[in-house]
Amino acid sequence: MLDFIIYPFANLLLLLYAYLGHQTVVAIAALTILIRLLILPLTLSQQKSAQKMQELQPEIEKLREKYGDDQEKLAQKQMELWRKAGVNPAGGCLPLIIQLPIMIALYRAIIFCVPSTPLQLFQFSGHIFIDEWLPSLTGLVPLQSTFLGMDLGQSPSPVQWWSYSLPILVFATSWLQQKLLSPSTASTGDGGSQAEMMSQQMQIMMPLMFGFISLQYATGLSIYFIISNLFGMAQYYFIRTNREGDEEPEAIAKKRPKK
Amino acid sequence: MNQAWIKRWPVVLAMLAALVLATSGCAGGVSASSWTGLTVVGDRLYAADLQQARAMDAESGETIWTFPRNLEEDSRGLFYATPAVGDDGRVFFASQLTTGGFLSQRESIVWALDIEDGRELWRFEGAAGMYVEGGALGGDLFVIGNGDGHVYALDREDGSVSWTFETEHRVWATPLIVEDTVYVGSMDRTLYALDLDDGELQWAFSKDGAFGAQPTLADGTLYIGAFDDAVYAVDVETGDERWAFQGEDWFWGSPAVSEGVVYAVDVKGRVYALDAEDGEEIWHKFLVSDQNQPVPVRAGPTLDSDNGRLFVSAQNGSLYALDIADGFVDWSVPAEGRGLSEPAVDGSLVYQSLVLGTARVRALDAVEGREAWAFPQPEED
Repeated sequence: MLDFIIYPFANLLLLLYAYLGHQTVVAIAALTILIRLLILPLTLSQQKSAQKMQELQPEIEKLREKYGDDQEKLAQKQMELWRKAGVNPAGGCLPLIIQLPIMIALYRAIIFCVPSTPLQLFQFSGHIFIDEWLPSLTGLVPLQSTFLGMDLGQSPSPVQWWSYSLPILVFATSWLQQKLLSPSTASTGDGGSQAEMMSQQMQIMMPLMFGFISLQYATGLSIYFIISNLFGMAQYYFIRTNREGDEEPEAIAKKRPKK
Repeated sequence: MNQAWIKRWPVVLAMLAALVLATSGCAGGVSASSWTGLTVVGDRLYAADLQQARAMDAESGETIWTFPRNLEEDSRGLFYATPAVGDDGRVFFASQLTTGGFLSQRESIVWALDIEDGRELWRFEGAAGMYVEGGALGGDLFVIGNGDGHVYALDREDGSVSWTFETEHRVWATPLIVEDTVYVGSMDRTLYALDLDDGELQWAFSKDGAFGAQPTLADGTLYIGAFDDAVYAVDVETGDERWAFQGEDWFWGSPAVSEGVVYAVDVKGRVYALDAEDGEEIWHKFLVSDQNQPVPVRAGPTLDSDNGRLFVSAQNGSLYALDIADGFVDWSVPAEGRGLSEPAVDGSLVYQSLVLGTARVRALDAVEGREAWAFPQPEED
């Protein structure tokens, strides 16, 4: 279904491998960064949306205190606040939906280039086109599959016990990234609100999920997750630094229509 | 927008991501990740038929024994590699077993079975990767390559490790044992010659492409295809290159050699006949399907010198019979499933191993291509 993305990614990975010293990890890292740069407009809008939501949190809490008993009114006022601030509460949804097939395609590209089973390699053999343009790349596949004694085409195993460090790193970087992007709970004073609970759940659920996926799948995928998370964190700091001159939340709140 | 949805969509998406990623590239039931193989010795056929190791009557297709006997109660994993049959009452299979449930691990096992009744004699579980093409017998040893990058030499009596040899990538090819030397190709782009007694390196032949299959020996020369689109002729004593034929795609299967001609097939289905002396092309033929589409081929050709034919098993399940004189396709017989390993010829029958289809093994008349039997038999309506 995703062949139209998977095979170009796999061929791009071969190209990067050829020109980056025949280091599979370096090629995966470079491809991850390239793809993150490609979808930067999407992730930027997602992160900006999340950050604006975070800034509006005190205002949301005020509304909750004021209209807590009338859910319909509360929803209406929240929507009004978001609209005035130019925030779409589901604004982060579309970028995530678009990233999902890209993530799957990248994973499949990695296992084609560093296959653990011969059928994967045979399937890929009919879809290598990069060597038709650059004959010097003929014979590159399969790529070098070991990194620090770990097999990048295999899931972590007790035989290579240190390979379990990768799912741990995936969990740690995902948690850090999630923590940066989630709204702060300290400022609200109402630690028991549903939004905060959801936010706290997400902070642990998402990293756990990615850690679990990393345990089950080729370690090459873990490299992608780690690099991608680090990129996401760097991107967050970049946005934060560049938003210093933007409107303050108080200014947004002042724009609210008076009753 | 509904409030509850706004708050929950990240969780829903996270679950969706996990589900899609977890199921991408996977299939339910028995799903193959490699290919099966068969060997014919005398009146018996030994087949790794994915679910079981099986001994059959070669003429009738009747099963003589299976291992494990009861598939429902006693699974031993998926049997892929081509079995090796010894003259000492043992037959050697390999399987891959998935264990562990939630955090599943794959375990690869070599099985030595009694040739008469399929009883387990010993097993070897010391390799970390996958067995693909099968092993070879030489002296007191059974030698097999593994996806963990090692070549394992096991004592035929008890399965103890006599020696191992480490390469820099996966070893999916069957070794070739000639007298006291083991010749084995690795995905690290090297063909190794090792001492059979202790695994000591005698010579190494390195090129730009991976070596995925067993070399073929004829008149002091090893012939082997590689993933750099070439077929190589290598001096068996020194490992020096005699000639190279540059094709247009990967050569994965083993070449066949007869009367000064080397026959090789690339993964796009081009069959070549080359002069064994200098690698000059004699003829080539492009295999196509009934719809005139190219047919991918993983395995090498099998030669039937008696009938002057070359048999090629293709990914689409078809078995092709070519005239060795000019590559003319005398007949082709389709089948459901994939034909990814070399056929075997014995007497008047040619045998094909299939994965992902209804029949797992079938026998055809070598002259006319008429099906003699198939296992399992298709259920009648």
